[in-house]
Amino acid sequence: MPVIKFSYTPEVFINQETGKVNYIYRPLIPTRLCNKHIFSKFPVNCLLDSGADKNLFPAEWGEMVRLKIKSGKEVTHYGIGKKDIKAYRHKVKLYIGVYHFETEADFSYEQQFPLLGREGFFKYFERITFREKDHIVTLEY
Amino acid sequence: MNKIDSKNLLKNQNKWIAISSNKKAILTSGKSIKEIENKLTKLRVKDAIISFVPPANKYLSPLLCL
Repeated sequence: MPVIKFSYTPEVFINQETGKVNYIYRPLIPTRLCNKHIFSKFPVNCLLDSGADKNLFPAEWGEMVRLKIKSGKEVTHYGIGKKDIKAYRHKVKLYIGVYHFETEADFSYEQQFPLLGREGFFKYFERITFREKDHIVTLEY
Repeated sequence: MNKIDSKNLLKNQNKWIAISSNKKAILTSGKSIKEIENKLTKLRVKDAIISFVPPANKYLSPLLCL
């Protein structure tokens, strides 16, 4: 079974208790977005979020592959701080290296950090393993 | 593991950055993905990863979805 492996990305973090600057390691997957035959020019790091049901992307990213964002079905996302945000659902293709698949993604003008969710991303893989001690995530398909 | 210098990341909080293919350097930064792509095109960069730098003094807890 083919396996794609990514190291977690070290991102800067200020410890709220000590004020010390350090790194926090996050499972970010470089992802290319495709609408029909229009590809994003460069991959964008998306957070592999097992707590998210759906893919949630910034609307701007969808506009760059010529999606008419508000023509998509309007949906609501809910989560931290009891906050709702509005998003619009579209069919897209996602490319992870050479592996690609058609899926749905929700695009919102209120979301900056791209998230990969279980129904929109995880389900297209046989197994996804988070190796916390090694800071590696493996995607088997 | 390659790391970008923490001082450079701190300068780019709440911004989009383009990371070099060896993941060691920030090639450019900006307020939007579009701005980054335009800058990379002008620099004639063909290989980069675009990433958002969240605020360093906050924990990241993305939204759940319905």
